[in-house]
Amino acid sequence: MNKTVTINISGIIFHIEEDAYDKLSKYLSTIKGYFTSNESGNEIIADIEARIAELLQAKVTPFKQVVLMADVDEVINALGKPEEFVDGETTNNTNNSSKQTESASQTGPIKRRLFRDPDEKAIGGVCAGVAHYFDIDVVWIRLATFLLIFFGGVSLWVYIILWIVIPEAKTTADRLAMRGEAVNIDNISKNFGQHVHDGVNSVVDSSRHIGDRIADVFGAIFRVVGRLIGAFLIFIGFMIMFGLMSTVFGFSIAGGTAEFNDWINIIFIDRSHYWLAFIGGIIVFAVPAFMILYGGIKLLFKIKYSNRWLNIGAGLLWVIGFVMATYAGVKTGSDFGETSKYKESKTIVSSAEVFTISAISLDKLVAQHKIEELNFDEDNELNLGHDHYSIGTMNNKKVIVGFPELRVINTSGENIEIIINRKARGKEKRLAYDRAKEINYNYKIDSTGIVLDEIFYLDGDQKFRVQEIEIIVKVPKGKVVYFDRSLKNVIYDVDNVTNTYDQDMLGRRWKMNEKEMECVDCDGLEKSDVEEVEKILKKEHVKINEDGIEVNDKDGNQIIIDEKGVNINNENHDIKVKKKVKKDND
Amino acid sequence: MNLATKKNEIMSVNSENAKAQMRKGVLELCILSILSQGDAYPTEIIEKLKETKLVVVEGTLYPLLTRLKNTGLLTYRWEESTGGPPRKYYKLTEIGVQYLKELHVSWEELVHAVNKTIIK
Repeated sequence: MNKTVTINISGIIFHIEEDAYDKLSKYLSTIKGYFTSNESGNEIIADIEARIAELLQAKVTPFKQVVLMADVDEVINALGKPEEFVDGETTNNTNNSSKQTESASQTGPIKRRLFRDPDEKAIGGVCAGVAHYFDIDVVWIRLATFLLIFFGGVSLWVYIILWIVIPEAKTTADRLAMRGEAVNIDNISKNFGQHVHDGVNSVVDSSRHIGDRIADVFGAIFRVVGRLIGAFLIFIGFMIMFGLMSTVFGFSIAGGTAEFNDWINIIFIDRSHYWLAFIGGIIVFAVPAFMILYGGIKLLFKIKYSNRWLNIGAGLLWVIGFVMATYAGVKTGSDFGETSKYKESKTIVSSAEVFTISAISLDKLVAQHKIEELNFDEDNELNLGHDHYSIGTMNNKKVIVGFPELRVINTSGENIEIIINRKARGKEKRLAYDRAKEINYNYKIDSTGIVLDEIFYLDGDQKFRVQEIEIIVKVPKGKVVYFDRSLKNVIYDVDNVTNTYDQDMLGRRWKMNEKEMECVDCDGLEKSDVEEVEKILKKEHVKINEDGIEVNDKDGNQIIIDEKGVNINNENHDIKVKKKVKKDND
Repeated sequence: MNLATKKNEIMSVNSENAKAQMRKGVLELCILSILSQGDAYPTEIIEKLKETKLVVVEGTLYPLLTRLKNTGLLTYRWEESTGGPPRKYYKLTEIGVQYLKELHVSWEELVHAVNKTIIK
């Protein structure tokens, strides 16, 4: 005989044996212990109790009214141990810790397999695969590959062979093996999750055809070509940048003292305009250079991401630079807009047979006016066709120095007339005229001739506005003019019968004809000395060829220089210098 | 709170959890599928699950049902039974139906991925 207890489960009365009751109540309290932390714990317990009641009800028959130990055992077996049926979310802590130990036990040494990685490929995914295999960042592998192919003598074929030989990681399992991760549900779902974002990618993979593979190869070739273009663009971009940098630094460092700086000051209306033009100019060139560089890098490293704001910003910056440079340029340029001249004319009544034009040399004038630091060489001068200018200092102020232009023309008048035109430019005619008047230029006239200054100058920090001096000497017909050799930097375009060059007219007397000048003391030397020499050479007075040099004059004198030595033949003398014949060729 | 936002909220909360559940044997998916065929009370669900041997211990079901109900995927009503305790009849809510569809798609994808891994 056993003692029974009456209990109420979910509103149903049960008679249960005492030891069976003990077990059942213990079971229920364990369940309660598990679910008390859960806010809907009571509900769950009530549901379970209802189920227990249902199950126990099935055990009770009119002939067997008492719940036995065996029944309880059966119920507990059916429901399971509380630790077995705890829902993942309701008791996260226990679940998580078990999960961790589970995965920890799986991360043993897993053998990696070599695959090509289609997800991180640049060309064929070989480098990415190798990187995974050795667990190194792919950048190093790519760098090493690049260096080996271009400098290490490893042929590109090695890469292509690897490309063919190494299989592509197509399935999730391949990818996991490639990374040395265990093939388990956790990793698959993790990996799978990554691939769901790629969408069709993984699905398409499974249905690859030969055609697709050929397309792949072509795609890869295009990518390589794209990369080469990218590398080229980077090179170009760097070159432009480098050029700009040297310009910037060249300007700002050397510009501190050099003549260039002076020219900037003298040309631009003021310093701010110079900086506007300078910075604007830099921007106008630097922005495209940067974009070329950027585009090249994007191509080379396959960066698909495009920064819209960068593009807009670059465009905007360029426009700003362009406007700056244009503004400064136009503003300064407008100050060159109008030309005006200040004319001075004098008539000379000269009885002298020959009218002499000469000049006082630059050196003398520089000394006389105390102009310092003046240099006419390529680095310092400004060349505008025939005109060239340079900058010096006078009384601690900048002085622009230039050369005047001398022209000689015919006049219908009876006397020699001299016109001195001072020219300059400005925003308005009046300003140009005022500037022209400011030009310092001196000359001396007497009855025998005129002495010109070789230079004119603009003192006191004046702006350069293409100031010029034009000297026109009007000569009546029949008058003889002597051009002194000191005019070499001044003489400019004197029309003459023989079309002799200006420089060759110096040191000779020229007579004014109806229109042009004609040389009176050239002694048949009608053209330049150079032409004369050419003429002599043509007459074969001088022979120069592979045998040596032979010179003959009309009197039969001869000089021959050849392999035998030097031989001079004269009517009276014969001089022979024989070459020593050496036995050894040393 | 409208249905769409509530739905989104539930989706986001449950998506991670759903994956954890999948590991346990996609029980959640099965229960919802069973309920999509018609309202049922836990014992009926258990019976169906037992047919396919998906459930080893019945106890697993109750916390899960409660959770699904609390998240709004299920509702229930009480029904009297002859002789036994009153029965909780579970029913899919509108969100539950949607959720099941999504879960179904995820399941297909997972099956695809798993198959690709195993059948090689």
